[in-house]
Amino acid sequence: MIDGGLRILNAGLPLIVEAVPPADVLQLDWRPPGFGDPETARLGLTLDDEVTVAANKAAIERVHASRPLITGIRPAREVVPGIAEGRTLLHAGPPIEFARMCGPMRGALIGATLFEGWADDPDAALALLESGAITLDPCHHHDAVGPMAGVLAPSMPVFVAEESTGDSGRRAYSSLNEGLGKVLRFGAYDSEVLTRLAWMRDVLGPTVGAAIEAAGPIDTTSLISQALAMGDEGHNRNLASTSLLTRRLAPFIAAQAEAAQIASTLEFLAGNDHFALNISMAGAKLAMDAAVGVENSTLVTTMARNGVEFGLRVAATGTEWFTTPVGPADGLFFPGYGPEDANPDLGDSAITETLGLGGFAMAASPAITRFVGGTPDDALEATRSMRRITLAPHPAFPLPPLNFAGTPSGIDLLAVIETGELPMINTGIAHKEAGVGQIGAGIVRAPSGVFAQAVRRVAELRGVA
Amino acid sequence: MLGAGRRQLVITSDAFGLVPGGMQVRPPEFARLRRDLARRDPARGAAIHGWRPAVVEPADLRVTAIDIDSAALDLLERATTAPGAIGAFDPSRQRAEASALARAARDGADVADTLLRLIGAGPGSTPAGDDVVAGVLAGLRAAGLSEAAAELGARVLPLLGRTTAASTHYLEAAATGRFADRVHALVAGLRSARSAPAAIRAAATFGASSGTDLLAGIVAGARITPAIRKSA
Amino acid sequence: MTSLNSRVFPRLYRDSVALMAIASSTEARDGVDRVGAVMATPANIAILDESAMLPTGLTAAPDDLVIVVRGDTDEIVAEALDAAEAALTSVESARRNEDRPAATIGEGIQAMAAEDSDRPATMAAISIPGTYAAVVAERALRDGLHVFCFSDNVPVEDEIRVKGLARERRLLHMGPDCGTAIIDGVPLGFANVVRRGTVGIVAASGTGAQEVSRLLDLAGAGISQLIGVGGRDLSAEVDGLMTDLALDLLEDDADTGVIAIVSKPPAGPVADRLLARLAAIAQKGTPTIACFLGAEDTDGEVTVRGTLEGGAIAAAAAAGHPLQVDAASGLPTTAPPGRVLGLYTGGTLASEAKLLLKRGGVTDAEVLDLGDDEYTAGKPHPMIDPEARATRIAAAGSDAGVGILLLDLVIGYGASPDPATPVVEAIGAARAAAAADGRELLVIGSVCGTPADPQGLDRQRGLLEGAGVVLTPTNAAAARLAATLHTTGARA
Repeated sequence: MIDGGLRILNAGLPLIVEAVPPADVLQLDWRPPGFGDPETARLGLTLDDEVTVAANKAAIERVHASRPLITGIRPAREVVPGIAEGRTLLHAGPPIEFARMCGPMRGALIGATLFEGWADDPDAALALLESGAITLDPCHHHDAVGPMAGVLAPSMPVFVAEESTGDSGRRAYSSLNEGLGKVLRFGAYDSEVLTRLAWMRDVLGPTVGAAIEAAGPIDTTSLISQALAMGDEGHNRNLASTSLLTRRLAPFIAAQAEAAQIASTLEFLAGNDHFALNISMAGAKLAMDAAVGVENSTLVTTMARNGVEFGLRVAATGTEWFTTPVGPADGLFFPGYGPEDANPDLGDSAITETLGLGGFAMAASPAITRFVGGTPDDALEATRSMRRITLAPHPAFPLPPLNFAGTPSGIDLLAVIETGELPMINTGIAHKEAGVGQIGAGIVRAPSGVFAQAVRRVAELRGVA
Repeated sequence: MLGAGRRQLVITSDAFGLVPGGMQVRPPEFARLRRDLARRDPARGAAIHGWRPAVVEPADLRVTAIDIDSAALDLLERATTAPGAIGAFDPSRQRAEASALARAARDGADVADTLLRLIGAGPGSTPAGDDVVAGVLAGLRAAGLSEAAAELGARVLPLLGRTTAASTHYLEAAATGRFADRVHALVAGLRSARSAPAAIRAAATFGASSGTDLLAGIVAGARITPAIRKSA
Repeated sequence: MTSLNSRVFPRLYRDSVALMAIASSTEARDGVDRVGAVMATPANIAILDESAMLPTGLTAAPDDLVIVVRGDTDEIVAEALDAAEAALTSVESARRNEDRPAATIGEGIQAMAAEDSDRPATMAAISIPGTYAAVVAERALRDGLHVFCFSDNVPVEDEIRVKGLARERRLLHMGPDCGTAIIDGVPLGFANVVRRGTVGIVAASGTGAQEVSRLLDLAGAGISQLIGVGGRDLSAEVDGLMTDLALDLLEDDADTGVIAIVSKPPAGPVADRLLARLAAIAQKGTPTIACFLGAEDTDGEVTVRGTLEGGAIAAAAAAGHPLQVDAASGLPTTAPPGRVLGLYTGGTLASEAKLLLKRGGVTDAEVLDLGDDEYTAGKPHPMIDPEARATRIAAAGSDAGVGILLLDLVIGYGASPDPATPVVEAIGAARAAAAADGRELLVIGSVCGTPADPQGLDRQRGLLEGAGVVLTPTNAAAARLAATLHTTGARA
């Protein structure tokens, strides 16, 4: 009566199928879907139909067709939409008022206010920020991304990423990485920080920008793809991509006039293993933005944290944020620090995971797993587990340790709900006090709450809630 | 965002003691970490995701000059003949080089050949020769010969590519004067005839031969001191 | 001339104590001369060389573990290295991640296809908490799988939705709360090993279907399919959604020559529609039997029977294998005074007993369905764990008002591996308690099982008979005997 004979998937008690030949039974390791909420599970299932499948196919094709090029470095005020209007500063993550912001973000905004010359001292800057005289807005609302506090000011130089394929005209921006130690993105704003920012504005930005223009656009997909084959994962390890970038640009930097600038620029690039992170982020932002607004698609387009809340955006719901309070990252701390020192998870850098890099590409980077206490086997397993919740392997990001299978790319909200597998994000851990800096690193999972909210909203839009 | 490149963080429980550049956690936490690492729960990916260590206190792991008791030294020396051979590899061969290495270090003589024979040599995942060298470095410092120890340490560093990653980690720290808790436990045995037996018992429990190899080095280094106190 | 060989284990660390154990056990092998188990540092390579233990062509790095063996022959050395490797990797494989087990229906489908692409998954068996059962069932149906849903507490609106979907796709959705099915000869859930035959059963009752199917086995008729549809399928709300599909499938099934439905009496309009459908099927030449527990027996285009026994007899006759349920000889003709207490593990069997006791004029009988939620209270079903019933049987001995104990014993897949033994022990205790009080206890019962069941029908019957249990061929016969003895044979 059953075509093909009885071949049973067993969800639940093995007793039920004890009379069935064992070769014809596959016992499922079943867990409650919808994070243990039957209503969420039901909505997820209801939405999982031909309409969603077709929309997701279209959305992921757009993302995978994106080929971002870094065409140069420009002052933010010249290129980032809206940043030059009045006094505007951008920050990481979903929207948040100054009063609720975490220490590092407040510190970074104070630093940026001083850097712009809008205040003469930190107290005055704080008063100005508290007064509301400065517009604060997420980077993501201005086609931009920034790591950690992610604070972007009009005078800062930004990488310009442009779409090279048919969908031209789209752009994305990211700040330039300051390196480790006392830096603005961890909330430090003393003279050392401001001096470096000024140097980046006056020397690094123009010098590297000119080199890029001379060398020709940097293809971020190709850069990251090469780096994945050299042990990077595109988020927490950027040694290979930074080295490749530096190698590419060094002759063009050297061809410039002033020896002092050449030396200081190359020295900075040599000492900053994370310089190319911001390029990876700008590329990922541009690629993910290709899917924003694809009707009925449950593809996740943004994951970002502001140090208080985790924010999620989904293609079908466009620019709407789903947020939930975020805890500190769990992970390993540098000697002398512990979880009580940690700031809640912070930064736009999870845009890399949204595309399929970082935690999703762990297989490429055994060095990362080793640092967080795992093994190369764990790295492979981490990447494999993300296949459960993604739409397709990224065709341009093959992972050598997985026989060159593409990195799992494009998180499907519905798959997260069905499997309960939460996106894995590699992250640095910031000290909760402004300016102390990085105190550890680890792996965090996106919180389940945002996915439950998102599925409810998508179901409302589809009229199936 | 991992700081200065690759770092090995050695996590231990009080049964092993603190090691330089590592952290020691309470036994229940350690058990949990070890279980998680062994299990590598696929559902959660990272082996130690979710770990929240309690308050972290930094510890000073330097070995400094102490009063060395001659009777204790004799007791400890006798214990260094304990066997620890693994198959064809007998650590007594590396232990036998300890005295010569300590003397050469004190006299500023050439230690290159001796170190080449010792680093990475012998049984164990921290080869016996490495334990001997680490012991000599600790013994010299306990004897107050910190300059000789630093000098010897500087000779050790370039040879670290010749041994295992675990050993490299310990020896790198030892070269700059920092030693694992268990080394401190052995050094403490030098203080008096009464403290020696505990150190000897402890040495016997470190790996198959590591403890005894360390002890051989410590004794050799400590013997060099100009001022050994005669037991009363 | 000796042989020397080595094996390298890249980046493998082992506790030196473990290495020592492996080295010494390897060295202890016959014909092995020396063993080296060390990290492949330059110094150790040099030592190996000096001691004539360095095989030619050994390449390794300081973090690699190398095991070197010198022995009498190549074979001895190779075997010694194999043994050492096995000892090393036995620790390793215990720690290695297994492949992630499939967790969802989608992953299960992929995994099964990966196993054998010609034989994909065809059915999902679901026994997870009822709040999720419909979600998983719906996913399975959408992916083209039939569903066997054992879970209970599934909201009725979910049942209607998923059964509607199943109907649309012409897939079975057996259940929710489906205890029994036998599909293409394979028992699912609680089911007896019934010979293949021509009777197709559609059942809205678990043990009712077991009793009918095992009696068909006894008759020699056997069954083609036993399709469970869940206890609510013939309710007014669900309206026989799955019964309809099951009948379609049985009509198309070449092996099915007789169709029987086993259920409580359906809701009025549902019953009318169903009987009309069965009549239409009968007109096309397939005899149909409606076994509606408690209904009046009627013979027409559709044979209606009000007991399981009656349904089985009618179906067996229609299949050409008449069922003989003649009363066994040597049945008691008298019984001790006192009321009839029925302690049942099978719900439909309990209902049938109740019905027949009532029909037999017994008004004070007490029949408990110990599988009901009221009695299980979160504990395993008494068919799986017989202890709860055993306790009640033993306690009945101390109840001066009880004269006749009426029992069922359900064996087959899903049921306890030896349900008779705890019953026998409890009966012993009950009789002892009654005797101490100067009373007797008569125990009457039947075994719902077939000779092919894993527990062994003869063995289970033998145990009960050994304990003095009066066994009848059917549950109905047991109830009738109890009624007769209670009403006419009670000793003063």
